[in-house]
Amino acid sequence: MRALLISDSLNLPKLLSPVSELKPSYVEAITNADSPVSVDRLLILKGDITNDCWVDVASERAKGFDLIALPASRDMREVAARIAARLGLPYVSGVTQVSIDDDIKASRLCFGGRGLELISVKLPSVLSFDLSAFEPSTGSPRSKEELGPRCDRRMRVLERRGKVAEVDLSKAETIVSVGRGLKRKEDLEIIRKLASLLGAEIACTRPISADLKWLPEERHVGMTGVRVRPRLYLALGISGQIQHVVGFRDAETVVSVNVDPEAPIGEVSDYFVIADLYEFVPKLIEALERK
Amino acid sequence: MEVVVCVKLAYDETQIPVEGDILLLERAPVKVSDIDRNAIEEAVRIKEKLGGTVTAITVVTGPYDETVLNEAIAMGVDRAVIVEGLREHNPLKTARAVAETLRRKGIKYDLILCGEGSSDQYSCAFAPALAEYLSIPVLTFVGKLEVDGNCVRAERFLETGYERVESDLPAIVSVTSEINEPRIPSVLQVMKAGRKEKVQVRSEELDLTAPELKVSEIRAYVRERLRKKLDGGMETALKEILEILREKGVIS
Ligand SMILES: Cc1cc2nc3c(=O)[nH]c(=O)nc-3n(C[C@H](O)[C@H](O)[C@H](O)COP(=O)(O)OP(=O)(O)OC[C@H]3O[C@@H](n4cnc5c(N)ncnc54)[C@H](O)[C@@H]3O)c2cc1C
Ligand SMILES: Nc1ncnc2c1ncn2[C@@H]1O[C@H](COP(=O)(O)O)[C@@H](O)[C@H]1O
Repeated sequence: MRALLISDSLNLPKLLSPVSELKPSYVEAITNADSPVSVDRLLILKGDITNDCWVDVASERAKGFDLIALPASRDMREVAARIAARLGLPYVSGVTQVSIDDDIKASRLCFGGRGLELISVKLPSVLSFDLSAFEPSTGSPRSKEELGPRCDRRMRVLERRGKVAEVDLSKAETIVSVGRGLKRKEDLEIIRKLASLLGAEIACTRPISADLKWLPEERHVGMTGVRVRPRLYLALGISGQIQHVVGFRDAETVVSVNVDPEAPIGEVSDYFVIADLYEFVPKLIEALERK
Repeated sequence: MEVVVCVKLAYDETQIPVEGDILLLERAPVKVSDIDRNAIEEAVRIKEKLGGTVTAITVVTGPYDETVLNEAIAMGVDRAVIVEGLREHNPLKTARAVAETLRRKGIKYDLILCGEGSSDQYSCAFAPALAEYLSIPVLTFVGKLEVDGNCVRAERFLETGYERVESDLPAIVSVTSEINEPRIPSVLQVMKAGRKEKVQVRSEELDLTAPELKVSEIRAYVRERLRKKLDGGMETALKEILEILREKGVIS
């Protein structure tokens, strides 16, 4: 089996992990900067690479490969679907687990994370991988080449405002997570204080990062955010919608605090405290400081 | 401005009964896929500003309920196209069906809007695939959109930051839930929506060559929890929580 990986350089080492498990005979990777991965061939695209470029280069190169693998990041989900449509190959997105016999068998989440579906496709095919459960696999490429592709640009990029990720929550042992039960951005201060007393990382629901922008995107837990697996997940003022819940499914213990005794978070918690977080958190801080 | 908006009807994932590891889909209500409501809202706002019409297209790949479709139409859609006969989850095939319907029915479009991902599948594959089949530009994960003459300018919301982009029309744009607050139509508007033009298309009329996927199994992905309610007052709850923190080695 010959595999072609298409990925930004940051995600590439993680993407190699699930692909290696399929024991490919030859692995080539197309990326945008040098990356410590043990592939047979690393192709580094130079210059300003837009999604149109990724699609053009990868579709050109894909002939003769059995598996085309990408990370399930927002950009690469677009690229993956376009390559598949252009080349007439089957495409499975957001793959969490994969195995191979004659066909590829891939698992992915569905129904907001309430379900897990198993899909089989014939090779050659395109898969995008949900990388949150994989460890990077590092090494060094057997050969390297730089390319300066000329691409047809249907979409023009006017400006990029990048942000550097602060944390990788997938490694955190203790997490204090907040939802819209938090009323004002300033109130994050008490949450920070609690987190520091517990040696915990702070996480949130999607509205807190995406709509309100109180915390950076990489702290949002869930289907479209990070999947975490701490020993303890403390959910404060979170309703427990499935898209969020799937993000902490693998937590060892879940404690939640919500004013509403009917909140669905109660059904997915080990311990459910029915209380106002504005009363509970200061009391907990006080108790922790007293010790 | 001729705007086409792609709308999926799906089982409401928040209300699917679960038995063991089985999802009882037949017992779940049907809804408009969440982010498609943002796409409809954006389409209607563009029409309100620039004039033109909004056509909604839905490909029936799962459940279908006319009253639910009417809720979507009531937001301000002028006519709906319903493609029937395709009973599988394969976003590439769905995109092919829409591309074929636009072509065969001579439906004009300057802008095609859809959601970033559907609430049941979240493949985020439909818009990019449709763009390939129609050979027009695609702007995905758009959280801000502006139509300016023959051009769209947008802000893409990515994990690593924001990207301001533009492209010529016609184009396809997939929107994120942050783009707007969808309006809620009144009961009267929903009733009136039933009388809007509806065009039915059978999938057999269309050439649907697309690669095949086989879904061999769907099961519930839930994890059992203790579900212990601590409602015996603040002091007792605090004591218990401190005990759990100690047990878990979070505090000593
Ligand atoms: C395609 C799609 C993908 C999505 N992906 C994600 C994702 O990855 N992650 C994610 O988080 N969401 C995601 N969402 C959004 C998700 O559906 C919910 O809307 C979101 O998780 C709700 O966030 P919340 O719990 O903070 O807010 P709300 O649902 O508004 O809940 C707030 C809770 O706080 C409680 N509360 C209020 N005041 C207090 C108080 N003083 N003390 C204690 N409790 C209080 C309330 O009772 C309520 O239960 C997605 C949605 C869609 C459609
Ligand atoms: N069956 C369908 N009918 C109409 N539009 C669809 C259909 N499936 C997907 N879409 C559109 O494509 C978006 C992304 O869907 P998906 O690729 O399944 O995540 C949805 O938000 C819809 O706007």
